[in-house]
Amino acid sequence: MTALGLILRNLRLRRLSSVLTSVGVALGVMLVCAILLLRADLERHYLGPQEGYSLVVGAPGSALQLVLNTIYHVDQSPGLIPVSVWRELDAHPSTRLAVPYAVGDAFRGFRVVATTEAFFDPRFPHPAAKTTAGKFAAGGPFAVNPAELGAALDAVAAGRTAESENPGHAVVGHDVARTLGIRVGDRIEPTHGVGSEQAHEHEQLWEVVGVLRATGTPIDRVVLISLDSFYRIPDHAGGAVVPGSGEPGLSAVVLTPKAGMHKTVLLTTLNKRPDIQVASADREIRRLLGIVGRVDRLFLWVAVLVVLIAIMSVLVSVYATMRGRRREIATLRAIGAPRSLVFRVVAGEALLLVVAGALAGVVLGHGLVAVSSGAVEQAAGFSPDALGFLWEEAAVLLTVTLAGAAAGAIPALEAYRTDVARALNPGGTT
Amino acid sequence: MAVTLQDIRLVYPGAGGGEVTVLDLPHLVVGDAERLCVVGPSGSGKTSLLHIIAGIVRPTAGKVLHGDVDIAALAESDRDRFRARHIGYVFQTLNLLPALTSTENVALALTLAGESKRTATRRAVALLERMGLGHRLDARPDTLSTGEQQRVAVARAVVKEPALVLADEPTAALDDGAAASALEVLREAVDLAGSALVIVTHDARARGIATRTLALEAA
Repeated sequence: MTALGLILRNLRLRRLSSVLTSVGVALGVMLVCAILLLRADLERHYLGPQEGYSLVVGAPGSALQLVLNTIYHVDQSPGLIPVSVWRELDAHPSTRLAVPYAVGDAFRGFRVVATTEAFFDPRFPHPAAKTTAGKFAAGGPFAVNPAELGAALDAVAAGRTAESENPGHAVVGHDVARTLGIRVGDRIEPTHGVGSEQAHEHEQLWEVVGVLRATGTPIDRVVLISLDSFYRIPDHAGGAVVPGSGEPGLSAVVLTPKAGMHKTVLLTTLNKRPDIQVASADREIRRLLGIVGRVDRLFLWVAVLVVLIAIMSVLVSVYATMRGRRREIATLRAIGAPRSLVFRVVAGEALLLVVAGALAGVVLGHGLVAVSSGAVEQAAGFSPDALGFLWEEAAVLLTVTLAGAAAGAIPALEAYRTDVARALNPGGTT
Repeated sequence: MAVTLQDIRLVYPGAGGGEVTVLDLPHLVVGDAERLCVVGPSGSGKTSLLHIIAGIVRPTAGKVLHGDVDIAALAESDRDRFRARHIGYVFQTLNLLPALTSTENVALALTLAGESKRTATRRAVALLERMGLGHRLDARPDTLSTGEQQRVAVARAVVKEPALVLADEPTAALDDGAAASALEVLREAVDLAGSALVIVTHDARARGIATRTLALEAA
């Protein structure tokens, strides 16, 4: 019989305590893995999509809220800025591309963004493509008729609902099309408000003219409609004007500066204005991750502590059973087992308990992420990937295995040093 | 393979810096297939004698010759190997490994002696069947009666057909009927294996299976 055979049979004999000891390790590793997976997904979700975005211009208030609402489509917009700001920025000598956003509607759980064809400009970061056509999985972009947009803005400024005989056009993100089974040519009907309990239906339909390629960013979960059609919605006649001025409003303008010092120029000059704020997408997201990172580091340390306690419990468990097995160990030695075999058997028991617990913990960690993905998506706006495997998890497995080996070495050394004669004859009479 | 002990002394440090002589044995020979019964009061060094013959304890002085090999002069790992191949051991409390079945307990003695797992299992099963335990091959010790455990312990000691079987108070934990039966099982098994036997006991009946008796005095 090999050392492994003895290890497996010894663990089977004490199966309840073996399982409970391993479960302790598994729970600790599960927490560590789940936190690592969620943190990686959080970073992927928040760092990935903002790549390519530069500046976001919106109403004064929280810069982070402005970035989260505009780029990640979570939270509420801090307020409205006049449409004239967009026109001004579009004509600014430091601007490469200015894309207007008007938000506040939803279609069957997916947020709606009213914008212009600038959104489909190859210079807009997502979906990344060299041409406008390359951004589409099916169909193509919509285009805003300047005359119709002008008329709509005039109507809203005058306190009326804009009207047009032409239907509104929509482009849907990849996830929207896949989830709802939407195809080019379908008609959709967004509802006002992003919370379903406040929603009521509009009285007109938008024709879907395109489906965007998958980007892996929040854009996949957005419905885009033409900006002029946004102002035709009766609910928006009063709600889409900047309070106090009566001017038609936008939620934000996503601004791509020209290369060189132009970003700094825009940041410093525009931030002096009291009616708007300019937020750097990159800076705000890193600030957010910095705040979140401090919290998840705390959770991670707690989970690491749980793993350490579990490994200590393995040590205590194996050590306690080993002390009760001195006669058994002495018997093994007396029938010819070398010290090294005894060491391997005792150390192997601890190692196997830890490794089995660690492997189970990795699986449970992924399971926990899978089970909680719905709740995470609701709370943080992203769906974590439970099937991905991180190199950090391999590092956790290796570290826990080494710690288990170290923990097992202590009772194993005690077993190795067992005085066979004394253990066989504990009474001491000879 | 005869066992010859020459000028054996076993001394332990005593309290107050003195020495305690546990065993002082000028000469002992155990011949091939001889059955030696060692008797004596507690503290006379009976168990220490077995440990010295088995190479578990190295004497303070003297030679322990198994044939022409002095195991007292061997390194510990060599003594372990020698014991695994040439010496069977029956303990006072039987000491079957609780995690292993009857077959595995017996086969373990063979695998430690270098046999393959398959051969060890085949030989263990054959011996256990011959000893009337064919129906208890897969039973763990806690499900065996004391008599069955005794037979498994004896089977473990003799399965490798060692030159020498050492038995330390093998009937101490048994009632009268079981003790007599256990001694008979031991004698038959040792005869079958062609081994010499050294049995340490307080049980006067053990003399009945012995060819010679050695009486030790308290040192």
